[in-house]
Amino acid sequence: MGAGAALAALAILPTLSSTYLATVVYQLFLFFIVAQSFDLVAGYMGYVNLGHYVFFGVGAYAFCIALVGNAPLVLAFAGAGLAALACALLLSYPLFRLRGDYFAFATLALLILFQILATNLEGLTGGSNGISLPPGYHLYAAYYLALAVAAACLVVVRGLMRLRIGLAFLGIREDEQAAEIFGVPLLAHKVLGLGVSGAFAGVAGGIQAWTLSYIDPPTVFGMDVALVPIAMALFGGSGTAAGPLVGVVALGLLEQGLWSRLRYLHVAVYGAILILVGLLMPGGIARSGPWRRLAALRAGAPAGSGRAATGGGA
Amino acid sequence: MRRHASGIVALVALFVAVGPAGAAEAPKEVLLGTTMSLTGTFSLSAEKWGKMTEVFEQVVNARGGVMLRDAGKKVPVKFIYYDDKSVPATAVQMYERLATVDNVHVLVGPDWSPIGNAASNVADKHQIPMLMANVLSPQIYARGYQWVFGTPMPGVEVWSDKYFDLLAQQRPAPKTVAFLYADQPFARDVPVPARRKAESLGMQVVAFESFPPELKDFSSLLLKVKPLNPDILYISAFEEGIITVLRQVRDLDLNPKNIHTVMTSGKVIKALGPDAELVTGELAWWYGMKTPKADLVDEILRKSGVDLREYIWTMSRLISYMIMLDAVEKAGGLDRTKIRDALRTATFEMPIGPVKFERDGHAINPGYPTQVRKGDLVILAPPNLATAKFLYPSPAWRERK
Amino acid sequence: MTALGTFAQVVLNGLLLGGIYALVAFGLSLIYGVSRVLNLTHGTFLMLAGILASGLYAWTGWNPFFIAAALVPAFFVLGGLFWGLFVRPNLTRPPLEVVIGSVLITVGLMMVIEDVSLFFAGPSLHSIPYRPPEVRLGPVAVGTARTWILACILVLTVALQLFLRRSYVGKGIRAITEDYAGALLSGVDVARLNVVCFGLGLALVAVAGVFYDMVFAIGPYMGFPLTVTAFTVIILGGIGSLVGSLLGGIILGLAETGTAYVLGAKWAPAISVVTLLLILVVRPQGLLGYRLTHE
Repeated sequence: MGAGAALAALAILPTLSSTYLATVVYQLFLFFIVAQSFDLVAGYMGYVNLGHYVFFGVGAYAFCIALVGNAPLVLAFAGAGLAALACALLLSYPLFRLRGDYFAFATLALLILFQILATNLEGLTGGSNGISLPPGYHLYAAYYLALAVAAACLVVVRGLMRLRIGLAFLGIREDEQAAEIFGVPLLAHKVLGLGVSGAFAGVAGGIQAWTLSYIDPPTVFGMDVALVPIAMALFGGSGTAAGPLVGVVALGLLEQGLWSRLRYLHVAVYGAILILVGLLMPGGIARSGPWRRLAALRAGAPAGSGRAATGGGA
Repeated sequence: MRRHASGIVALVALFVAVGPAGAAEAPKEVLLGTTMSLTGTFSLSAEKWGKMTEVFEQVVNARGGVMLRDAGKKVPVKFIYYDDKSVPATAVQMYERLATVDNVHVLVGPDWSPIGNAASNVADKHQIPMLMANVLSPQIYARGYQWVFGTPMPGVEVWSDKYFDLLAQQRPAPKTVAFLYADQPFARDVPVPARRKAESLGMQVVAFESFPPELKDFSSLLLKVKPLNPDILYISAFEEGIITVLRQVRDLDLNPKNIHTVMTSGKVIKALGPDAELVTGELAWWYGMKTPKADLVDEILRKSGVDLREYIWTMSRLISYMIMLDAVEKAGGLDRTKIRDALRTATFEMPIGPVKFERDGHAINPGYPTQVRKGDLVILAPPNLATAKFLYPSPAWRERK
Repeated sequence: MTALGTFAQVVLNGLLLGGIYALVAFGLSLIYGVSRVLNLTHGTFLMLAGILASGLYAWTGWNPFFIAAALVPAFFVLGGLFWGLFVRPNLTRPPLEVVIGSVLITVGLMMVIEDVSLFFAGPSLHSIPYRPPEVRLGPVAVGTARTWILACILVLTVALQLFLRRSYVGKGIRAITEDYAGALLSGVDVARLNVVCFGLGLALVAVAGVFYDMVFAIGPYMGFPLTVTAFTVIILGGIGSLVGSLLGGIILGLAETGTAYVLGAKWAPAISVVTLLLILVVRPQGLLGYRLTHE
């Protein structure tokens, strides 16, 4: 199957290529985990969690605190995921009283709050000095770990969407009141969605902290980085099966291409492309005309037959 | 065995084709790799450094380049640089690229602790000498990385030493000091040794308060400090914070005998206008100082349009370039181990004074106290480099203009 | 200074800070109220105005209040353009795409404006070092520039309020904000009013930018945190209510200075976020806002 071959190729990549390429692909794995877990809640359930990166940051800090406390590595990673999960569960109750724009905005505000908490709770987080991990170069181990988690994330999200839970998510997205009338336990499903999404993002945060070997509040909660994976998911097509993957690869490679060629204004070009896609293909690339035609051709159906090969409740 | 022969030949051919290039041929240039925060939150301190780097390359090459004793000739210098966007994870990718794709000989930069923390791992792994600039975080130097060094900005441990020495010489000497600092790396690190220095000179520290960097209203903080009537108000923050604090210091009519900030730069002067008069600060170097290679620095700053008044971190970066090239010359060639050893052991005569790296890789050089006079900066000490006398105490706000 | 004097100073500074926050939010209140677009570029336009203003001030030395007035028509036009180019094409799409589209567009636009400003104006901080004649109320400093600014804000609030209540256009704007469907049914020209609101909104942001430049300093990247503050203010005060935004801004300003006084400066930035989250959970329509009929 195509997926198997791709997985195999990604697995051998580090042994054949420069560490630069391995680093780039590794970062893409992390972006993918965050983008795909974001999309579980945003694309399929309709709740745009702009502050999704909070879970990433919480995971990063939990990992560092555990590791500095001499916990074994495996426990530290588990701790990262669990801390993020706990965070998601705690935040669910107040957050899910909100809808739409208010939800989006409240989650964004959470990102700021967590940065302040990380800076002020010095005893726990080291404050603005951050936490420094024992030095070391872990690229290869982190690469395979990230690959495994990314694959798991993809499998879990696709799996959830195939079950009735997935249908319930879509129901919540399309018409929450109707879903409730049909007996869908709303809060339980929302909490499940946010919990799963948070846990994955938390583990990704732990892995990132491991390779950076140092984190401080702006590095894991800052606006510089927090909106990037979200933009990637939206760019690729939120709520489609291929969307986050397409978005991560497209924007990730675009970014690499831009900074290595343009000295100045490469961020502006990146932003301009976001604008263009937002204007011309606001459903994201995976929902756009050209993509559908391409997918239909590959699936063997005549172009324009209306049967898009990309699934997901677009 | 014969069955495997073709396989072995193929592998060797593959290795020769894609493996690391051998260093057999004579070097034709010195390749320095670096990243700068040209965009993102750290870019506020680093304008025009891209241009400055290019000018540095031109000027050094116009003067003949770098002497490689082992090759018996002078070769030109070439920089390969990228914008790390102030994001550590991005910087890591770029240093990987510099190390494995661009195949630079040595690394200079990056600036700023979070980026330095992440990038130093790459340098150490690939065993490339890295001379960071504007990176002070002690934990980086405590890692035992043999290949990583850092130039001072001046050195945090002695940042305001000469200033306090100057204060102690005043008659009557100031008795009380109030410290206000922003809770962020660097800003919170400078006051700690400064406090020790002040106390060692017999001054009493009446306040030592931190504030979040994004704080807009300082009234509660300043109102706490005002009744203590400190002789010296010492503010450790980045320019935005300094500008906001000083405006409110004036509004609330706080009148210390001298206001000192750790970043009294041209930006602060421009933003505050006449209110900046007589505020003191520190610089690593200043125009007109007769120190080794000062003319080189002068030429580069002039041609790239970088004003040291505006960008006081510039010196650290320039020094990192200059020391690295010096180290290459001392090593005699492009052998990375020899360059690293040169960095470890030699003393480098630089415009900021002689630089010698401690065992953990960082260097400690003092800052020269400055004061704002008529919208410009003057150097107050030491006597052989001073361009003006320290005016102390400052008149109260109401008595000014 | 006596305890009472200190307290009075803290309160006054809170009012002044809050007034500036309110001004930043007025524009957003109009824009969001009428279009319901999650416009993340609001603060970035403030930054743009501030940079232009400080450049103008350095070049001409004009009184900054005059510069603010000069920027108003320019930014009004810019607002209309912004609506026409970036908001209108998006509105006719299905709701999910509207949200995705507006996030992509506003994040992208934010990056473009920031990077271009960075490129042309440099990363340095800009400020307007203008000092009008001093004003003191006994022992209490009323931060000269800030007093004049607060006075201007009050005048602007009154003017805007009159506009919204008395004028025909103003009534149309309020109609759309209160009940979109009803307004459409009543024949309100939504498109034209959107243009007016975006124009007015950006014009107000421009004035706020100049004032901000006089009291604080502006760098290319401080737009986004200000956008967050602006949204906090309008949610606190209630969307669509101008007085609510004024109230919200002042409450936020007082909360910040008060928190700094009581808990210490390091918790001051947190109070705005905590206030926002509390309001969203307890009373999402804000203090003076309308209960939204559509989300």
